[in-house]
Amino acid sequence: MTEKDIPLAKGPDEIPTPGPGRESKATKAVIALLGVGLLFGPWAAYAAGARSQPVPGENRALAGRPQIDGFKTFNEITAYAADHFPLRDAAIRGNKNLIHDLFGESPSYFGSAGNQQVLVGDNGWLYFMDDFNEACSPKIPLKQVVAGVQRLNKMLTDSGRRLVLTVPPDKSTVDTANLPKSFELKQCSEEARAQRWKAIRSMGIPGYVDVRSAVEKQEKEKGTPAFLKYDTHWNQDSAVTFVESVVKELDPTLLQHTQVQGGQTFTEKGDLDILANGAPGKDFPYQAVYIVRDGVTPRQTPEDLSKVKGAYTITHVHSATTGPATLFQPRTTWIGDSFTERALTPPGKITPFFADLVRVPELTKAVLAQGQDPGFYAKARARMIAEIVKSRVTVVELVERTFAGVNNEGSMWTPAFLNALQDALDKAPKQ
Amino acid sequence: MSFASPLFLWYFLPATLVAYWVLPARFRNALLSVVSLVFYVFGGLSFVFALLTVIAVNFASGLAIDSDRMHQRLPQRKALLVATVGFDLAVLGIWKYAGFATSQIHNLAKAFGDDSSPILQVALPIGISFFTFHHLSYVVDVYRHSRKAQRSPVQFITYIAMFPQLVAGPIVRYHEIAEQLSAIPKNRFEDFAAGVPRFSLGLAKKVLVADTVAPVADTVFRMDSSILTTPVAWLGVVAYTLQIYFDFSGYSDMAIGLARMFGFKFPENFNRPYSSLSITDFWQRWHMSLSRWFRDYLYIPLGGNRGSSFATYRNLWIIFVASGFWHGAAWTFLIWGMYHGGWLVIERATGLAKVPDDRWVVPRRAITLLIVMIGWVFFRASDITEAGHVLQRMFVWHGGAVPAEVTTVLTDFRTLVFALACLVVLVPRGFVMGKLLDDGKSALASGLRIAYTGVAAPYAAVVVAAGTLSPFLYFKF
Repeated sequence: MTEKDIPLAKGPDEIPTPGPGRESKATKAVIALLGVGLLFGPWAAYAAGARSQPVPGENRALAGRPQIDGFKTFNEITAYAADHFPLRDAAIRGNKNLIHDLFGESPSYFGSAGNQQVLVGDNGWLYFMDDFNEACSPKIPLKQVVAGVQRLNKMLTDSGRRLVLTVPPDKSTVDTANLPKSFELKQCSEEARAQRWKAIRSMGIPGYVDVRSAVEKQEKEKGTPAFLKYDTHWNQDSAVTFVESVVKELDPTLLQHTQVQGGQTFTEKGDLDILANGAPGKDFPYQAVYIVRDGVTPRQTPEDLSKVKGAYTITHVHSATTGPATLFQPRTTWIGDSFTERALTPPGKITPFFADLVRVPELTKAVLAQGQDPGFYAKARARMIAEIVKSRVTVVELVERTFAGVNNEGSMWTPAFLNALQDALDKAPKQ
Repeated sequence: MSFASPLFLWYFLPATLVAYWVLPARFRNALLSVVSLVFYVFGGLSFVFALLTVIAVNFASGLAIDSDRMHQRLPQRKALLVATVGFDLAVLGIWKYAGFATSQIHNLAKAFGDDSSPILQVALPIGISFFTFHHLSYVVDVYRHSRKAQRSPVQFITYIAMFPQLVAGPIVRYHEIAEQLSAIPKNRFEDFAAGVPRFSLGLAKKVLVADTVAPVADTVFRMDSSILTTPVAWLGVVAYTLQIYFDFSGYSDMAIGLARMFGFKFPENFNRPYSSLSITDFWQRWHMSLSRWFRDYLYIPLGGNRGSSFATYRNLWIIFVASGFWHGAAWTFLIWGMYHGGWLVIERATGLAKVPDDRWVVPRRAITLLIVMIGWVFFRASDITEAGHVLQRMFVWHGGAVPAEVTTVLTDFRTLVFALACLVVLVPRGFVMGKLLDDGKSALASGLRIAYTGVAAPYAAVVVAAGTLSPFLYFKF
């Protein structure tokens, strides 16, 4: 049998084995120098003082130093290496400018977050991919979420306190008209969502506020989408509906002497637009809507809990009233995510209802802040527990994907968090 | 750890190179062994113990097979070879195929009303197919007296686990590298200058071409068949055809270049496969290190083409069924292997494989590429149904508007890269970039080495760096 007859790759002689080209020493030196520049250039820049910084639009802490913790350590090393090599920010800016100048578009990267986080729907509508990812691959079983919520409710009720829980729906749960007809996670996310909402609505929590139904009702009445086209959040009308639904659950009389007023049009960036197209993003017009309560002077003071400004801000609300509108008097802790944050943005829709309220960001923000402020998570969690213990009422607002999609330290439904809260409640006097 | 990642490019590789350059020559294989295991750990800590266990078994077996005592006891020697090969295949089988096998048994049992049959879910150690084939190559080469057994565990680990080829090949047969393991590389400067342009070529192919066109293929293959039009189906298949070539050959180029930087010469793995004139020609140009492995360790032992025509066709088919399953534990891979095996048999039976290279070049190239592209549909599809939908759309006209998903993903930059990649595939088949970079002595070759190292690779590196951009959604807060 000769090799020519074999219908498979021939021996290594078919292509000569690689050997160095016979070029001049000078050419080789140039190539070697270019190679050294490619691999060691960032470290030369480091020696000259260059350090990696987050770039605009990447408003997150860079990965923290890896901790020794089994295999997790290697993942942390990978994340740290990706975030901290010198000239990273220059490369991101340089590539963005190059692609923008040459093609008038934003670069997209294979496998990078920027390329995967947004689902483009019909008529230019943008959706957050995590809505679907978290539904199809929940990080925590739904049963555990439900059990966690029920345990929290029992713990607070047994200690004389009160839990009010609300779950803003994902944009892709409510405004489905512009979702693409087909996409990878469509079927599994629809099935998972149906199960999730069935479970949420049948948890048996007396203080559960069905804001999804309220927002869907409002959408039907007004005939306009509840959510924003380029953003994961809902519009100002939905924010008002959200606040009014929670307040009604706390005390329906609070809605007396309350007016909703349309304000001026202002511009705002869309978070999904930035995710899809890069910073700084376009300005989109929004119609402001305010809640005005007769005689109430709202006052809120922020407190930066983390060393990193803005990474984890606790907001204290102390409103006063001189008019007929009354305030909710019991001290209240309001744990919430960006939906709460947007309802607090001055002049604030939540603010004019409370005499003594402290808003605490949910725990995933503490986990993220830890990247730049090591050990911060424990501090944030302890503070959250202390605020719950000090308060008569705890409001928990977590958007659908976070409510059921976060595990480990970021979740309030883990035994570790609930046990720590139980210990603190046991030591505190009954309310 | 991917070669096209910041951790590899700016931490692992520079640190390894510096250590390699400063260490005395006698420690360099030890260094490569250790850093290769560290490299492997990033794919899964527990897998490194599995890898070391398999290495230990094969190392000991090689020594035993090559021992004077065994040379006098031939039946026992053969039995030891069979046992070692059985062990290696069992390791591969359990990790790679047990899940697939149990799920098929489960489906079968379910059809008969029994839903209790368990499905095994086993995490797959990275590169298991590659290191298994390296081990098999080693024990068989030693058994055949092609090479002596390796006495140095360090050199053996270097052969099996050397990071340039550990996770994605090329598959280096033991007899191709045995002498290089003991020879101490002499000129680090020459090695680096020779390896870095090839690595640069691979990095550019992977990052700038394969990763750029990949979202087009991904988008098309996940589309609902009801809105998949015929032109869009073809667009997706062309995109995948480009992606898999530039990705895999780019990775091979990087592996060959990296090995060269450390004084090793790896065999070539690709030779302009899309310029093939027949499927027989294609398999002499695509993933050549795998073809050579199958030829040496399966096709020839089966009898090759020494027997009747039927026996030759049977052997060819067995090779390609095995090749299909080697690529993945799924029916789609099996069909892909059978499909290629079938074409090889047809070409051999009809004499098409022996048509001279200068006859009907353009139509033969076009038809071969078309056959290869149809095969890629099975290779890329997540299941047979999906492959069927895409093929149906490709060949039964279905018009309609271009879906928004496709227009969104086809940015101007991506369209340009797509078009350029198509042109590269179409250039005359005598032009092989990797060969020119490694062996070319012309001014053009030197210019291209400088261009790849000084322009293409740095831009690819910028894209790798920029790809770490991870905007946090709640940027306003």
